[in-house]
Amino acid sequence: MVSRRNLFSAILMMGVLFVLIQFFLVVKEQGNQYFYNEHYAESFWWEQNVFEPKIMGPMEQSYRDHVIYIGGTDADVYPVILAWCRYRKMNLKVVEDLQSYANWIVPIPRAILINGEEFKDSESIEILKKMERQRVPMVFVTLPEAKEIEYDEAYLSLIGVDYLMDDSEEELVGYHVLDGFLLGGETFYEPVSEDDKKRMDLNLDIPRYHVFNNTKSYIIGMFEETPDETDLQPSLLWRYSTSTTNIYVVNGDFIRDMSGMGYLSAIMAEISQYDIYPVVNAQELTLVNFPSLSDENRVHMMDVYSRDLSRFYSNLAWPGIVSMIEKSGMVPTCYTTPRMDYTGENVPQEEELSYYLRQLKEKEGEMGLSMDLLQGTKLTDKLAQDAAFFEGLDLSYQFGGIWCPQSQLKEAEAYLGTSYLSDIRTVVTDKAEVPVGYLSEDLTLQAATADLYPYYYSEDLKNKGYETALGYANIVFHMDEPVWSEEEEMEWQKSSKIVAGNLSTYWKNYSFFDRVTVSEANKRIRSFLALDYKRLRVREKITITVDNFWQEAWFVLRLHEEKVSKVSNGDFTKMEDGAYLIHATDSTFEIIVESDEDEATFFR
Amino acid sequence: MSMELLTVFQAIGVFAAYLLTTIALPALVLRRTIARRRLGERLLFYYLFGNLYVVTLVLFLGLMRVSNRFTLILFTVLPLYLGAAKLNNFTTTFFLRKLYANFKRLFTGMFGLRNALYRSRRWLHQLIVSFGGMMRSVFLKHILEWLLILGVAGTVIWVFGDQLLKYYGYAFSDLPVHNLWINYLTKFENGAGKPFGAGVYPFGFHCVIYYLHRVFGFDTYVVLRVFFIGQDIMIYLMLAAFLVLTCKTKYLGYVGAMAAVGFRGLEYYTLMRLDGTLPQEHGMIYILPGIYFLFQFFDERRVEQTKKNKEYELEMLRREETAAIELPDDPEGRRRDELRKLVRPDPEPTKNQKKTKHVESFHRRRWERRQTLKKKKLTFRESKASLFCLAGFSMSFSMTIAVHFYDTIIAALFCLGVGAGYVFWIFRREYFWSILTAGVLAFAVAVLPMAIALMGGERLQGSMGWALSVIQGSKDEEVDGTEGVESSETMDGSEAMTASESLGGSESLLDIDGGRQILSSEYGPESAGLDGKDKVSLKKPLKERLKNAGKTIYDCVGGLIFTSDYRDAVTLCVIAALPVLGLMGVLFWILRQDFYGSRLVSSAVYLDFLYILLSASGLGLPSLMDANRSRVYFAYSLPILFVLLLDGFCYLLRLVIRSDRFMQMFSLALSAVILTVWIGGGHVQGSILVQALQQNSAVACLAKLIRENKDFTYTIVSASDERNMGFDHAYHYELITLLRMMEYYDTYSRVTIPSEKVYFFVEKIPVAIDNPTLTGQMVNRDYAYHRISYAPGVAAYQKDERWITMSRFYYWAQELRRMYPSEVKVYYETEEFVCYELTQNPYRQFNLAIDYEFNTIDWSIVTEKSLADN
Repeated sequence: MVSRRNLFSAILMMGVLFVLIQFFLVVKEQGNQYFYNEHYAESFWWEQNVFEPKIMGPMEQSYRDHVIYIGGTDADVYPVILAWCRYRKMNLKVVEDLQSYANWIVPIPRAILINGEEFKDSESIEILKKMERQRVPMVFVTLPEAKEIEYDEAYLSLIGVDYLMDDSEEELVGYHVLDGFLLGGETFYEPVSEDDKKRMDLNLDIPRYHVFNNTKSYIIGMFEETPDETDLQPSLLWRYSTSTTNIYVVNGDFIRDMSGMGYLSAIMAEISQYDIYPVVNAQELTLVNFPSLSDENRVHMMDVYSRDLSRFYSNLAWPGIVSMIEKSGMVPTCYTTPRMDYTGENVPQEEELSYYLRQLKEKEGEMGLSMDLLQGTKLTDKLAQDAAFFEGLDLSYQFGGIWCPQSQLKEAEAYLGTSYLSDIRTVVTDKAEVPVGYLSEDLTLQAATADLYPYYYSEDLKNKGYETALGYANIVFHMDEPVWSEEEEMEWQKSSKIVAGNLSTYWKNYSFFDRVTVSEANKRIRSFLALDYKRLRVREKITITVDNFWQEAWFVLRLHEEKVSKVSNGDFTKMEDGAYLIHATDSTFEIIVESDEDEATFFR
Repeated sequence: MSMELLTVFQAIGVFAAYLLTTIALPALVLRRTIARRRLGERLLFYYLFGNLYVVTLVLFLGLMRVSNRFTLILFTVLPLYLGAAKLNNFTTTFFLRKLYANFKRLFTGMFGLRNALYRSRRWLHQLIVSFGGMMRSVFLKHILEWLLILGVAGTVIWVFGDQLLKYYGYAFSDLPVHNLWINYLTKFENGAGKPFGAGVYPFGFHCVIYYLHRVFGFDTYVVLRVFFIGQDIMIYLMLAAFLVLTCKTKYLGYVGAMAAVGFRGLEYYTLMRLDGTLPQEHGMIYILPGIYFLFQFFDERRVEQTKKNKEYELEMLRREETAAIELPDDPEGRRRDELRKLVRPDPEPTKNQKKTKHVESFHRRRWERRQTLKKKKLTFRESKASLFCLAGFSMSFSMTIAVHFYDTIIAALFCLGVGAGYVFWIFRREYFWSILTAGVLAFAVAVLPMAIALMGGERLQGSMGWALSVIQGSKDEEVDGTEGVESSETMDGSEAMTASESLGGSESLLDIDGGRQILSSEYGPESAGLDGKDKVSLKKPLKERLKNAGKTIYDCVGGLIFTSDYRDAVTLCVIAALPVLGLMGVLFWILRQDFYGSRLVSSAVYLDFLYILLSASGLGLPSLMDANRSRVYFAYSLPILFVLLLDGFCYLLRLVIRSDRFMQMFSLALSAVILTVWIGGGHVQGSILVQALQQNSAVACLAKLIRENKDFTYTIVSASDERNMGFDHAYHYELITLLRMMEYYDTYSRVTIPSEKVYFFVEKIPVAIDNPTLTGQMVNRDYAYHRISYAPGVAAYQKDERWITMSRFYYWAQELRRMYPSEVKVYYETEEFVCYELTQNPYRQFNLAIDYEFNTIDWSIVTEKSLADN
């Protein structure tokens, strides 16, 4: 029997609990501005301001950091080197005609980048050998075809190759990226499981060079069975130490696209006693076409998911996304579209938009707009209908970013900045000439660096390059695929697992970079592109002076046998052994380094 | 933390662990059983028991191949628990039941928290009070003795402590071998350890070190580095204990032990071996306790037998009396009460009482009865005290056999001395069979594990044959220099990773002579003035032979034991004192202090044996032990001579004055005078130092490596020593193998070491081994421009070859650094030593075979001139 007194006490307790819970919910509701984009911020560099490297002729001199590129400007590596110089704030000396180039290299460049496939005649080799004696590190960014140099001992000895392995020998099965070179650590691109085999798209038909003893390899080819003598595995990227200098050789296509900038940065880190360069420091998760605000493709949705699109999003997709972002620590930027199919009569629902704005707010995400279209829809139609929808809303939310596939970019460019797109400050696209840059005077362009589904090995290798060079990743997943695709593998219950696995696996090693939304990334990209810097090292003190500094900047510092002990006007994060992310909060900051022996005097 | 401080902490830790195992734990079990014995005896007994238990446990677990930390702790704790349970009369079920009941009461609220706290406080209070009581009874009541014990320990530390702080490496070439054998106990094949890994050999010392390593987690090399200081303290405390317990006076023994180590007149080589954790020196600990227990056995047995006799006589008398009561009246007409009076024990006749013929006859009959009574054996209960002593003797003797045969020889010589000293008693039935049984038991306990191993197919370790040949005189140890263990020890395939590959099964890595030619002729009997001419010849007349023998002994004692400053003054005293001691023993026999006299005579005879042992080769006798070993024992035993002499003198005074207190005060005063003269007169021994065969920096670097790296993630490339020292932590690659692999370099040369980190130990100033003239010389190009040694074993690290090897290694390392500037860095550097760290990816190991100029010389065209030009 419950006494009246106990019953009263129990009811009172429940009442108090109820009030307390409701109170917090009410406060949360009242206190949050769900329709305000807190990420959207004005940048000091609102107008285009980009450091442009000085491109010099062979006889021009530059006393700021520079590299020499020997090769033609029409080569596919040239844009990569140029972009790399732009991002690293270095000048570039271009030497197209090796024979006419003076033997004496003054002032000393940081490295000589050689487009090796252009210089395979004996005269060029002689000149390159002379150049080697001038103690400047040389980088062969490409090599001639293997059959062209197979018996050319002079060339092979110049690049530290012992011999070309016989094709009939064991076949390559993958790549092994050794640690301490590219950021992200040691990686084996070796298809072990069936799942791995689907990812394997690396070029395995690559010349297999056996290199000299006094070389260090950074990327090696893998055989099915690792030989006991590990140096019998072919090298794909190596350093050959001669008596006068170090020669870096890239055997493969690593530097033929923009991710090659990362390889160049890693080589520069190896060359130098210390190397510091600016990075964007932005990791974005881009969910394209999510949410779609109309009830579309109903038959298919009911057939596959037994619910309409709205229910699919709220019951299946969004919980999956939340789980994914919580595991990976990513912050989503969702690019919404009122409709995907503009041929039907479906009407976009305002409530859907409000709902996801609230949800995103709670997950610190951001919403952008999508310009993606289903085939058969004209962009103008979409823009007109979308404008009608958005302008009809009483919405204070500022959309800072827009997703626009490269195929529609040119057409869309004219509409950006008008009507409901007036707040747009950055455009995210699937492919671009450069990973980050300006699309127009006041619009930045961000290229996707990886597609989460299915995510091939080559994409990860490229991603390593982007992360090393820029600290930038824009990871895309097309949320319209589970809705519109007829393929069984694209159904959400299957694809979401793969996507979540990819995200938490392949970006785990970059947790030191900030996870941001598109607007925050936009701000950082503007600052990154605008800044310029000077470095000076006196003993243990490295002083960096940044021009065009605004609020904050990030740099990657690579060291050998040293570690960062202190950063004035900033702070630092250890990324890997010998790699630090420096966060500068002032235009001049100092980094104090020390020997990386933990207790140098221990047991003396 | 400095290496010195670390070493001190390690030494304290190891010694504390050793004392805990060998004294504290046995005390927990045995304290009640032997509570009535003297404190000193108890401590000796605990100590011997603890050591014997550890040795036996390790050997038997090892032979069963189940020796590991868990089993060692289990079989340490389990007997401890069972012993404690038996002593305190509780069973496990009772204990668990009580525990359960208490918890139940606590959790059901019957037993409140306040109550629990109160009881805990009370229990704690009682514990403190009882601990205080124990401290008072053990320490405060014997404060002077404890101060003197501290004095002995302090003197040992004074003399040997510097070695601990100045040389971190092994100072004796035997030590790497012993290190290896102890490593075999940890891991021999298939991951399991094994005793007698290198053949059957007295393994007692190795078992003790292994136990400390395995149970307490000290690295073997650390124990071997630092344990000698604790070992030395125990050696001299045992001497002190022996003297104090044997003597009638309390204090002279301590002074004797202090003088044995701290007297400046002792020759360096009589003490220098104590600077290392060596088995022979470890075995010295066990020699004297056994002798004391043997002495004490005679005393105890006599008391027990006398008591038994009296009891038996009384019993007999009672029976006779009873029988007499029952007797009918005498046919001769004597009455029953007269007969009763006849058999009743008479009171002791007084001096003035004139014995009648009748009474004398009665007493004779009684004496005859007693003689028949003595044939009655003592029961176990009646002979507990003497059996305790026999057990002590047995354990002690067993330990000497288990540790080192030389110690057994010395113990056996002392036993012979005891036989001579107690010659009138020892052959009596009540003594002889007991001692014989104890001796056989001691032998059996020590030899049983070795016998099991031999039956299991193990071969005898090489040095056993060597020892036998030395004893038989077929091999001259002085030529060999060091104990046979080194020359016989070979490296087999089961050893750490690459070293075995590098040197092959037949090559010896460990036969380093270590530059410690202490047995060379420079310091041998010849140096003491002995040569072939002076040897005693049987062809000469007896008088001359005796004279020569006397001279030989005099020269040996003077030359081998004492420094030149003291030689003349002390030698004669030492030689003259010996017969005096013997005579004093005889005097005590006459004074009816027979067993005390026997102790003196036993000691005198033992010392006589030592004199002969020391001078055996000079006297033309077969040499059981070379002079350099025997002089260590001789110097150690010298205090016995002087202390017993002084003690005998004090006891004579006691017999005259009849005051114990006076005797003790006199001995105290005498001790004070000796100490004052010793210290005040500047006769205190300085530090005894032995140059290590390894650089301090190398040891410090190894310690740093072990501390900073995860086990078996790195490889050390060095000259041999670190192989055994880092056995539990790192792979090892032999330096000379590395160089040999890339000699005559071409593009096909390949040396890879499959670990992420590789550390190269380079001596910039190599350690001078067997060639002191090179001491302090840096490696240089001149040495590098020589062929490297291909001689087997460690010849490449000895004499001039060490400079060539290290010079080559140095220039190779420089070239490697140039080639891999980011990957090769200096890990540790001092003026004499540098350690380079190579970091590589194990999936892509660097080929360490590189052209470093000196490995590509075409020696076929090199001439003397070109060599000189370079």
